[in-house]
Amino acid sequence: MSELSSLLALMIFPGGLALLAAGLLYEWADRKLVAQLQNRLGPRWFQPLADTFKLLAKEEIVPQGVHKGLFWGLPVVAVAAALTAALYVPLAGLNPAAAFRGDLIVALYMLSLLTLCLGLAGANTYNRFSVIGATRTLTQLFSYEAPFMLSLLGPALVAGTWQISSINQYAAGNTWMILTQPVGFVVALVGLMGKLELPPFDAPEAETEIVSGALTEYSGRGLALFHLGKDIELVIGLTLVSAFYLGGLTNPLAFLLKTLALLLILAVLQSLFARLRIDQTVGLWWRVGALLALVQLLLVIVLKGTGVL
Amino acid sequence: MNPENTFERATELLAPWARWSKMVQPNMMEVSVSRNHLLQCVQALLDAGWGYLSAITGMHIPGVENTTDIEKQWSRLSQEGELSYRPPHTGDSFLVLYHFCEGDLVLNLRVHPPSLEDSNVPSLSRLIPVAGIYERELQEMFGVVVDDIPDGSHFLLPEDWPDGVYPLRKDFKGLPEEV
Amino acid sequence: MEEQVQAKNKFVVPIGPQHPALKEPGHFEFTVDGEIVVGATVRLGYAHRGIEKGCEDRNWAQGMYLVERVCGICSHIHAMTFALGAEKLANVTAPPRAQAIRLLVGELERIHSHMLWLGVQAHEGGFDTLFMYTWRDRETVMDLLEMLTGNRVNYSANVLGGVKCDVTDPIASEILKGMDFLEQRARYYLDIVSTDETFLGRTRDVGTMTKEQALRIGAIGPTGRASGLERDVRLNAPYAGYVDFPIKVVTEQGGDLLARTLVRVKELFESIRLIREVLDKLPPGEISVRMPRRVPEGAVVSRVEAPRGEVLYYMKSAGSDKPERIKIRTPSICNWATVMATAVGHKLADMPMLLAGIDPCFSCSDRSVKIVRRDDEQYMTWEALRQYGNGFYR
Repeated sequence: MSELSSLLALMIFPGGLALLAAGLLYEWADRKLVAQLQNRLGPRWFQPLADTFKLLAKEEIVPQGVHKGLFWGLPVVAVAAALTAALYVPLAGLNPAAAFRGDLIVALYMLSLLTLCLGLAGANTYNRFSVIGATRTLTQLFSYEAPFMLSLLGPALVAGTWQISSINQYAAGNTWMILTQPVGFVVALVGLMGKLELPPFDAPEAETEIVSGALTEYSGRGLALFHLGKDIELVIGLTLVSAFYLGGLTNPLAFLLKTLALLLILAVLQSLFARLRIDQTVGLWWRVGALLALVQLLLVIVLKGTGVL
Repeated sequence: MNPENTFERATELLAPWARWSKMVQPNMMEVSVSRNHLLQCVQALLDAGWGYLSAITGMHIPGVENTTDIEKQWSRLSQEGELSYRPPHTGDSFLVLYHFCEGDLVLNLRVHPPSLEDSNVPSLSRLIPVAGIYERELQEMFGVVVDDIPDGSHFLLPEDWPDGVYPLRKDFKGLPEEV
Repeated sequence: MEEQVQAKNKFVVPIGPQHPALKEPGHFEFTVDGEIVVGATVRLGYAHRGIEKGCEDRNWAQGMYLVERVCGICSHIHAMTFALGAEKLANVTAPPRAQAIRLLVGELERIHSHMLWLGVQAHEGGFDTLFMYTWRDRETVMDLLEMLTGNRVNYSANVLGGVKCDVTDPIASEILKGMDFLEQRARYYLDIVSTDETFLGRTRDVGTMTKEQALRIGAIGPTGRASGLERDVRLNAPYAGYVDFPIKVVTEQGGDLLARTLVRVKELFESIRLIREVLDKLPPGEISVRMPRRVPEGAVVSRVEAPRGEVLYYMKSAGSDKPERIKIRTPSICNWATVMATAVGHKLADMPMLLAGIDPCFSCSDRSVKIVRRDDEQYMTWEALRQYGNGFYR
């Protein structure tokens, strides 16, 4: 029976289908919000799904000179990693499907794996745009990853556990950590934007410079899978940040409201800025983001040590 | 715009090399120079800060055949004073005009190489970088040979454009079908 | 050997002919070392249509409509340059009202072109919100142009000897209303481009060109004016209505992309001021005079300030009803050299903005060959096309 339920958890809910559907809907919400902010109409609700089906049906053109196994395998690994990460987060405000001590680290690693796959996929081809895109993707990975991690570490330290579900429970029972650790929240949110390569951190796929960066050579299924991976990452990222900073996720309604509120903030941020150059991105993260997150973290440690928290 | 830069000043500057000059329009003067002196002329204008190179126009002058036309050409050339410098070109030739603009004044340096075969003109791109682009166009559109051009590759025409076909010549009526 | 090793470490990034950064075809090769550009070359001609040659086969009136197709954005400018040149050759002067209307359409076109450019520049910098906003507001001026001339692009406002559309009172009041709206929007854009930190981060100190450099390279138009070069045909050699309605030249000293942006946005205000003034003091009278079919022998250089800089036409007439030679020098072609000169040392990410910074117009730069393939039905000859067109609209 437990095999069946874990299979269900993997395939239907919270992993697999439900997550894919949620990812597509969140992508639509994001696109629609940005469009509205930019005075455009935006896509219809099923557009992301239609895009995905269209791409899945298309022929994947494998360019010359690539490692075929990697070319086919990387998108699959990327989606698998994102789906795996979903097992540890309180999706829809329910208890995670799987949980163990320290699963925060695993979840974060799984999310980074997607970006790594993206970078490798770009570096795998001979296309110049892909290679430059891959370089930028990886450069960006190194710049936002540490601050993002540090910003999620703050709540973990306060809660005294590295298990996502426990932090979620702790957050639900205490003051919202957006109030106690505002800097951490900002860094986490902006870090999420960097992770998802949303504007203004979209230098790795800046279409006016390098076409679509690492994904330039992907045309069919691979592209669809990478997009799905990104969508799932969006949902997971929003879930993580709102679970940690917005007072935990205990029921589906709270999940919906909190993540959508975050998405709205993301959409506003996306439409407010011009794209940062990759050197500006790195500078911003290491000079400002990492420093702020570190200060916040030290503060948390000191306060915790002195018994205030 | 410098109010001191008038046509008188330009005439003065170009005096050592100018063969003749005439006013084509109230605000346009044409000065004929030998292609061997072109660089000195341009340098003199640049040094004095007289205007800027605005464009280079190429022109294909079809040759004259019947005697009346030849007579007309002779009389025109002797009027202009050109005849004391060179015999008239009876065959096809190119005329290259270098337009310098200053305020509302336009000064054309006029270079007239003798024939299509001997149509070399010096490149100005060492003195004026942008001239390189105009010269590339001149070269591929007319077949004027620009000496010492830093980058003489095609600028506007396709890479597979047939050699020796110059679209802005008067005798160009379209590419043959098979191209 | 060392050269070979160096070449291995460097990377040539082609931008174009088809590339999402460029809305028109042009080919650039940037040699990059990491992200830093160390070399740049340009290759044009993908939108070459043979207009210079085509002009020699058509009479003067037809030629004017042909040159209007040199550029889709500054079409009025080309037709006006041609008309002014031809009128000068024929010793015809268009009436003052026509000259004022030419100025009016020219300035409306400048507003439309500068707003289009601002949107493109914002898009190149990944600032899509500004892009969408400017293009939405640009519709206002497009509608005004349509109302005035009947067309959104390729207005055909000129005829040889004048213009063919008159400004009536209702149209004038609509234009004034539009100007009020646009002025308010332009103020908003000026605020954004000069205060938004991310946009400043992409434009400040990028592609800096000093006045001396600009002078040496031969920069013209807003690109030159952003480097402090007071070069504007409207001021230096006033034509059409600019004799009676003088402009104030907008210059900036920065020489970088920011300065180029500011110059263009500030020129919006200047254009709006000028349009108001013209509408206020529009000279009465005829809007065109008769122009002879044959144009006397002679040569003329006709210069007009397009939104991108100086347009120069060298027009030579042999006394027939067809021009002997029409040489078109568009502003973009002069400014290419500035991109090639300032690109080196910048980051690859700056290239699209730097390219767009001169407001390049590829179809302007490309002109002049026609390829006649008479038997192939895929390609229509001029005659066939004309017959088809005449039949279509009959």
